[in-house]
Amino acid sequence: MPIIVGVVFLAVVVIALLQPMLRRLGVRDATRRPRETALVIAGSLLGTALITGSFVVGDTLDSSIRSAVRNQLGPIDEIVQVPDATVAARVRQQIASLDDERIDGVTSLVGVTASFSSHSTGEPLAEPEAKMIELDFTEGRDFGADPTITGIEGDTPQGDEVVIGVDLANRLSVAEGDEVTAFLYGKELKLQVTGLLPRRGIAGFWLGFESTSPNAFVAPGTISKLAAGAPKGASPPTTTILVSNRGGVEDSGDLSVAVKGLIEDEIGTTGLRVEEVKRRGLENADEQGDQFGQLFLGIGSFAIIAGILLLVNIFVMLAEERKSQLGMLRAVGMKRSHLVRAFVIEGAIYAFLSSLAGAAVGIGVGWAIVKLAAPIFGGFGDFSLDLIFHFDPDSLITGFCAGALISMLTIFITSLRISRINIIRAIRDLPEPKIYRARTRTVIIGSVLAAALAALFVMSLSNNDMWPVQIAGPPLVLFALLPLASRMMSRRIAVLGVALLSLLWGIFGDALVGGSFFESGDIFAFVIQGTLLTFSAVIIATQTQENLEGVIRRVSARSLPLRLSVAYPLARRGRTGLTLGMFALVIFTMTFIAVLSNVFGGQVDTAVAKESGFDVLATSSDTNPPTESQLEALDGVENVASLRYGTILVNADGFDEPVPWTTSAIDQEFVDGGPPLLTEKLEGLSEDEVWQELLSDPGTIVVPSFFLQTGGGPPASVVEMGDTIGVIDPVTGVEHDRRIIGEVENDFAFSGSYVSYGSIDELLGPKATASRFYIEVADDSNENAVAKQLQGELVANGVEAESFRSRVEDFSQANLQFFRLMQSYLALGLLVGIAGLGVVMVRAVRERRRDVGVLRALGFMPKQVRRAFVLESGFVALQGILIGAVLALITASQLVATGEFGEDIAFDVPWIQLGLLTGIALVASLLATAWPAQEASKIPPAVALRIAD
Amino acid sequence: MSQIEEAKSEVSLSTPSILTAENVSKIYKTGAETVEALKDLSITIQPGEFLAVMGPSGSGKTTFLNCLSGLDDIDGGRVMVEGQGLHKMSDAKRSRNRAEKMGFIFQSFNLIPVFTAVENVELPLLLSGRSPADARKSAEQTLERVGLGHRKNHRPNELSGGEQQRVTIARALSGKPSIVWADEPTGNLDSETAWSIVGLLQELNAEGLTLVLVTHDPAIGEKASRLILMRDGAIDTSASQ
Repeated sequence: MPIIVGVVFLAVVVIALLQPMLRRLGVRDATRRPRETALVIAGSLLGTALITGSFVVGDTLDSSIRSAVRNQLGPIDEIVQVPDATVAARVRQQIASLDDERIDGVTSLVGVTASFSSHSTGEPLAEPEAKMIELDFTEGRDFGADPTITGIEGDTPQGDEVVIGVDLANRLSVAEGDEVTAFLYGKELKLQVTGLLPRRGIAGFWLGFESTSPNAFVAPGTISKLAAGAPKGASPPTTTILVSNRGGVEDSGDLSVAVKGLIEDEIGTTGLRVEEVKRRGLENADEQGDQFGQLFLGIGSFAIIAGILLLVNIFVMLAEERKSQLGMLRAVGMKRSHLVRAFVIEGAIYAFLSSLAGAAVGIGVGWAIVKLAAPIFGGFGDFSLDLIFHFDPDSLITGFCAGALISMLTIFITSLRISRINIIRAIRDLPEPKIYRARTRTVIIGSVLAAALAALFVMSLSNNDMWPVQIAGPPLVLFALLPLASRMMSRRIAVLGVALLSLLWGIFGDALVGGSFFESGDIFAFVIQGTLLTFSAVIIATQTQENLEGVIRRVSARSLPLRLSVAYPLARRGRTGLTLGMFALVIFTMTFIAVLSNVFGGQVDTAVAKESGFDVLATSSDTNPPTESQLEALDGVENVASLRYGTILVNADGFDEPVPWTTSAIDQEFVDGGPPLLTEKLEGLSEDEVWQELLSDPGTIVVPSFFLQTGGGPPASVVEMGDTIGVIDPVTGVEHDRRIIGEVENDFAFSGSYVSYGSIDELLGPKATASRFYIEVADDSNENAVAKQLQGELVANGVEAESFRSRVEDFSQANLQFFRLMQSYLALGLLVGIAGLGVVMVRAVRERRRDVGVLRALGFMPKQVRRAFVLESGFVALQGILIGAVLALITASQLVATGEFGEDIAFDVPWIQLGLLTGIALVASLLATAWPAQEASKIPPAVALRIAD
Repeated sequence: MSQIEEAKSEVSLSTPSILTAENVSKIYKTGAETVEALKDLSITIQPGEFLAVMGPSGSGKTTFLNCLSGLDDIDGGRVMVEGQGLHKMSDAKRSRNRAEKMGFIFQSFNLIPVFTAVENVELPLLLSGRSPADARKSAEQTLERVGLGHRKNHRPNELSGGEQQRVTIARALSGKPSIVWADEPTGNLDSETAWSIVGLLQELNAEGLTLVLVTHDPAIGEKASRLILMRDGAIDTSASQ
């Protein structure tokens, strides 16, 4: 993109150098009114700021996840997990003997999940899912080229000593010298804290989804001694062989593919799997950063489009103001292309300066979003992520280039249109004729284009990847047919008909094509639909204003300022349409997000009912799980279903690499107690039959609606009912097929996919322990009290319990916060709309100086002039607000009704929030006009009339 | 004796003046340069008078009109309208005074482009507080009076230059002002249309309208009951009648 932008600006410079007259015209027009030039630049920079801001947000997330990867892996690039100690020793020896220059470290550690508790503060504090690790500290420090990035300090613990990571120390509130208790394999172990280690490198080594590393390093031999008497069903300890590649913490990941191949060749792949943890982690960081940036870019697109409309409006106004000048230039022999070039030179000055300023402002926008997002990302407990503000210079360059390119393209197209003036009409400042008859050439081109678009649309119906064509196809066909239609009927009727049909398509099209508009989960599907709806509605509004004109005039008869305020927008429909579109687009998105946020926020009861027939979810340490009878013995516990839980790798079409996903094995007790509601079932099976099929056939699996989905937005099906997926044991690498027979809507419990006990035996064996419990609470007991009791009584088992309701409420709250974050970002779009209105009104004041002078000469008071301008802005803003809000309500209700976001969701409008939103938008737009209105009221009549001798 | 001559003869110096200007001065500053556009100018305008102001370009004709009508501020002297100091009034009061007592006709018509002919004409009426229905009726009558009743619902860009100037005249007359200021009202018109406009203004003057008209055209100036010639911001008494 920088090359394209460079070429564009270079071309403009060359034109300016070769044609001094055009340069003088363009440059002088741009610089003769510095204050207004500043205003144009200010109005145009917001689009670039939003683009850059979204990149900065993406950079921050990428950098923050990378930082977490650096902390939790450090020099570790690949790992091999081996459950058998003898095999582990052999494998380690084999890798060490490779003696390849790409590998600069091999070590191993033995790890097992354990619960820890302490009474250091007087209160019992516990970490149910810590990792107990055995490591030789000297070996650990020598791992890789740089001992400091291993995080390992001090001596290897001995006897009952334990060296713990800062995350565990914080959780247990302990320091050196304090005592902690570890629980695993049914035993209790008192340990003395002899050191604290940072979350860095091997000391911070963690493979789970959590961003914290509650590690505890114990004396070698401790775990094997405890595991010797492990109860049945407990997960065995695993030896993990760590491999470090040559190079720095991040670039060493580049060697991963080669090193993995090298190791696999040496050790063989039967029963062993080499995992490229670093590369995968960094790629995940890039992916998440990109997706998050894309999400904000998608939401920001509305504001960017609004910014484009503003730019077009500004240029159209500039051209109208200079109409007679342009006419004269054409009269004295200037070609249309000369006018275009002069405008492009002038526009390039605005585009360059506004994009430069926009990129700088974008850093601030990104920073603000990161500040607002930080508490949300930091509020997920163990899964929280510390957002560290960061931006790449590349993002600034891309933001600048994108902004400049959009501006230049807009300016060029607008200039082409402006240059098509009629010389006489321009000189005499006469309006363009209303009678329009499309040229035969236009009719033919339009019809051919319509036929091509129609064919493309038909093709898209059988290919959901062509969703943009599905959404925009029919309206584009209709607009392409407009020249032909205007030959057959009045142009106004044709335009109205096309806009009305497009609007209807925007509202009902998704339902008509079987709900495939949003199947991709791409935020830009929403952008295209929203833009289509708004533009269609604005065209209808501007075309029908003629019918309302009489009514408006009668209503405004008593008030001259009111009459003036509506007269100008009604007389200049094209320009009013641009301003309206700009405002309506922004209000549309804000209202839509507000309504969706409210709809989701009000679904707690439904979501709880759909999630499970049980009341409480309890999870435990996989090395020390409680038995069902232990749980059932507690007060208030009526019934317990045990789920065997583990992580699998899924091989599915469309993915380059297996995707990790959690899975839970269920039994009849779970099905009897109330499994989650299914939204999709294999054809021919009832809900109950799906669950029975799952229990009886180990080759089947039930997945959540967002299975394998990595992006945000509504759940998007990556797999279909009846598809067969490959399921891999992450340790052994052995793969089995599973057929999808059902889909559950939500997974607030994080249970992942569902298989039977028989199935999990085949997939993960004893590594999947019964460490999840769905608990039904007695009718006379309180579910939260029972959850609290479970945690208190079963600390040794590392039990964490929470009612389903409470989980759903927590997620609902997090969702709400995220919606608020999006609303805050969209508020920047509102700023574009309001600032745009202000800029348009400033230009209007300049344009109407003479009219204001006449009115003042006739006796118009300054306050009446002021009022007329403010009312005019209010009139346009009010229309924009009405169009945007009504469309958003219709679209949201349609979306909810189609079940895109889940079944049985009630449509509930947040009237108060909506009132506040639209009220603030209206008041802000009036305030934005206050200054230009004040300026207009101060225009001295004699000066405005330019009455001079 | 023609109607116009009769009207001229009725103008008597003993009648109380409609406007008196005493030692009015106006200075324009452009950068370091200072231009004295009006120099101690004094004049009295009688009711029903048709005063023509002529002079070469830069002599101060338009400044004379702007300052005496209150469109522009003055730097010295005073302008009395019906016994009240025009420039001592607040902006709001001066605006009301213009709406109720003055009418303006400009060379480039200066109609509000988004209003129809009748809407332009009713503007001063609405500004002086007349009801919309009353204002509309009166505006329509005035348009009829200037011969444009059939074009009342047309916007300015749909009218010819002569028609636009007639609308401007109708707008100037609609509020039944004490005085009408016309700045080169025929400057943008062809000679035939210009003479029909002058004829209309003469008729109106004959009906009692006080008219101050700035013009370059001596033939039009001759039609006035009094003619003053401006030179370097002052009235050239030797050439004025």
